[in-house]
Amino acid sequence: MTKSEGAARAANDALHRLATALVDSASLVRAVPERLRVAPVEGVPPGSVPTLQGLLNRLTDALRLPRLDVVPEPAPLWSVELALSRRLMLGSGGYGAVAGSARPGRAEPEGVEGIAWSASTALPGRPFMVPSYDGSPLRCWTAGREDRPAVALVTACGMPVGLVKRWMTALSGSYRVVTWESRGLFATGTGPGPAALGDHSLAAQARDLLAVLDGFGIRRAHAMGLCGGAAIALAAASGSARVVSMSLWHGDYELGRAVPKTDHQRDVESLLAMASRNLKQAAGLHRLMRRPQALNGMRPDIAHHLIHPYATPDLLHRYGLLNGAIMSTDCRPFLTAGQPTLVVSSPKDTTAHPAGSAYVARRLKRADLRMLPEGDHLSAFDAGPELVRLAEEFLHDVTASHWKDT
Amino acid sequence: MDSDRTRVMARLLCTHPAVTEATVTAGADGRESVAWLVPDRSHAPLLHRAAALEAAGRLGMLGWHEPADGLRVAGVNRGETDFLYREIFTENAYFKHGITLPPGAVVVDAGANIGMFTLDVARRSPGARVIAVEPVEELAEAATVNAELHGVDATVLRCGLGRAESEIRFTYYPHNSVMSGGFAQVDEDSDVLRRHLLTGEGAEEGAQLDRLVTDRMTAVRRRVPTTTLTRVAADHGLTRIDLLKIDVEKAEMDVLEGIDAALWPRIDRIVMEVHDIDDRLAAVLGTLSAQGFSVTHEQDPRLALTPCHHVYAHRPEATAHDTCPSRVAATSVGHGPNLRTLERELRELLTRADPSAEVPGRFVVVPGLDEVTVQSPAPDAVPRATCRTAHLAEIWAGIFGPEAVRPDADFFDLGGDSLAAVRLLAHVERRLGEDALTPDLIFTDSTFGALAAAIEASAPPRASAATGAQRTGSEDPTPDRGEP
Repeated sequence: MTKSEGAARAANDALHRLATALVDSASLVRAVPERLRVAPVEGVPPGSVPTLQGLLNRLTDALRLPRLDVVPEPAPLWSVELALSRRLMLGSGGYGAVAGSARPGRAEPEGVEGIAWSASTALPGRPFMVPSYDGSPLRCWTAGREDRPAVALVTACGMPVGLVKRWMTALSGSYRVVTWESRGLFATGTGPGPAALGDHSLAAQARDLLAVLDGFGIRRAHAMGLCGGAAIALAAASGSARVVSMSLWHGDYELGRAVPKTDHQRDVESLLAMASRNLKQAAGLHRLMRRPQALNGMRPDIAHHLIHPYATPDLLHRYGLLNGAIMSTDCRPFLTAGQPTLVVSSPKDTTAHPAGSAYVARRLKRADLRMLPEGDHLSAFDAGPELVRLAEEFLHDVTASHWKDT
Repeated sequence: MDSDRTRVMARLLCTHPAVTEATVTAGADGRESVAWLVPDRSHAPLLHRAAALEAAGRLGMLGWHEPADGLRVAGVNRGETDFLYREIFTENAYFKHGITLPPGAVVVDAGANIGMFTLDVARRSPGARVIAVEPVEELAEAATVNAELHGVDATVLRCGLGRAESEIRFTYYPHNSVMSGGFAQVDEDSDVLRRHLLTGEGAEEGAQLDRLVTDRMTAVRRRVPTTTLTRVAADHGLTRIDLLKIDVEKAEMDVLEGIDAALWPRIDRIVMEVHDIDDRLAAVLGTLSAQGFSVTHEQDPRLALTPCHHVYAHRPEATAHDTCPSRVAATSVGHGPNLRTLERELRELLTRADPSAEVPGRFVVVPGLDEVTVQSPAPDAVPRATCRTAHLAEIWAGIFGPEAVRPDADFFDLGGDSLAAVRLLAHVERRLGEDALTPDLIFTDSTFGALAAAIEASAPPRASAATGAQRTGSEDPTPDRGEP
């Protein structure tokens, strides 16, 4: 490879990374009505800002995203902008390579638009819109062959699809994976802001799972619930035989006062209760969450997902209603569900108390509890080799017996 | 909570092996219900000794801090105790680069502060003997209490170590004791602190940083006696020193100059913090190398903007029988639960037995139930101007510790984050109603005094006139259990 070919490849790689990061952050970028600013990574010379701005404009235009303003320093940015900056890592991988790509006709055999298209169609790909039973539009994704057993991936409330991309990748080779984002928290069309929020109860969110199955023409599915998604999966399974089996990963459940909760659970419940009260209260809490320090407790590589439901006062208010319902609805009546279930947690989970998972596993008729020695709460979303192996083993067992008559 | 319920609850508490006796006093007049516990000598020796020390008046102006499960220490500032715990216990800042300990080690802890390093030595080297040297009276008292509490063979000397037996001017920063010293310069030290805060976790900035630095660097000047390490070794019969730890805030070269030629070969290891001012790091490295030590140094990335370095020196032949650092327990010194661990277990015990029961708002350890009074155990530091302010003070103390209840104490300066703000708001709401404090207030005017004033101003007219005894209709009589 010649020196100029090497430079061209480096530029292409850098552009691909940036385009992928923009797609991964698209929900956040679309969520905030004000124009967001981003800062390049440390070490990028301030004089390069116009070049980076030009490059970013081309990519956001190609991806039909609102434009972002590049600023030289991260100092004036608020939490969402900082999380976004950290994800985009503007100017990383060699500023020269990226800046070179900004000049038309150089080092970009696919063209910026081609790279943007390629990034937007890579997993998880473009969403399908499926209406729920009450008409609420749901942004849904699917991956894997249609003739494979279906897995409905139920993510944590308010989290963009990017957070479960690793699970989609890991399971879509053998299964047909479907997932969706929480109702009322994501822009569903080209217009700004999410659709009106209708019913926000846990029951309504559980019915969304069945609506998604209907939308894709799936008769039966394994429900894989992560964090608060575990409560949704549990509620859906208790009311419908279409959920033929479940796996519940680091679930966050309300199980009455006998089952302890972590300080984090209590704090978040308080926050949600306050935010759900009215928009004014949510706006006050939103100002608190705008502080850069709000990111301190969030893992940097996924902070742009975790901050999403806090991005605007309206989102926070809706999140208070939706996730508040998940965290406060007593799950004990759902423990009559008789489907085979894998329950996974770890004593290292300081976010959702593992005692909740242990209680659920004890009370369900056909549950197997795996209390892993390691693994904090967010590791459930990482789809690490051990968790994937655990999921595949369980899925293999339950799909072998339940898919014969599908 | 009626008396039958409190009796049942007390009986349940006594079923826990760490509790020998218990009683529960019901909440009234805005006070929380309290569970008074007598810790079991065998199953909860740490709490048992702590209760006895406190009852004997040994705690004085100190407070109990619990920086991790299983650990309880007497300290001055909760934030500093947490910092020292992280530095010494979690990050092992001193036991690196060949610095280990044999069983029964003899250790000199110069700049002992509240004795956290001394405790670390005790867990690493069973039977260790420690001479802890600390010139700040308050800190030396804490180090003494902590050694006694944890059963460590430690002698605490209330003086500084230097090049001569003398007396020096000394600057004590009560809110930032770790930077106190004989060579302290407020301007220079403020700059170091500012640089540290700029590079540390949750880096601060702007006016908030300035406020934080000013608050932390409030200085008290004293005169303190000094002695030499040679003199200490002679007075206490130290024929060898397995480890000399030096953290004396710019006086490190003076400590080395107080070691005579006969003592140098009897010191096997040295670990020290060095302020690299006027090429001091090179001078220290040169001195130690010349004395036959194998020497390493490093700088914590978080201190990159400061002149602070750590130097590790050992005689290679002296480490053959040392304790492997990896075999050291992570946090606990094996003395049973601390209060936060015990409280967690007792809360679970009570809710398991009766999920609908009101769990006591507070758990307190006492050496015997004769000690229990009808008074709330709220810390003396809590101002009780009115019932509403008292509620805020209790909540504030619950989050930051009683020493943080000061009108000028700032929520964010104290380390409060967004979720802690939510916790504060939630507790205030539960006790005083939904409109007592709006989230914006914490953001715009975040000192304790300002928030207390806002809470007073938000009271209905009847409550504004009250000075403590009268409760308002909006005040929730349910004790705050830290639960939703």
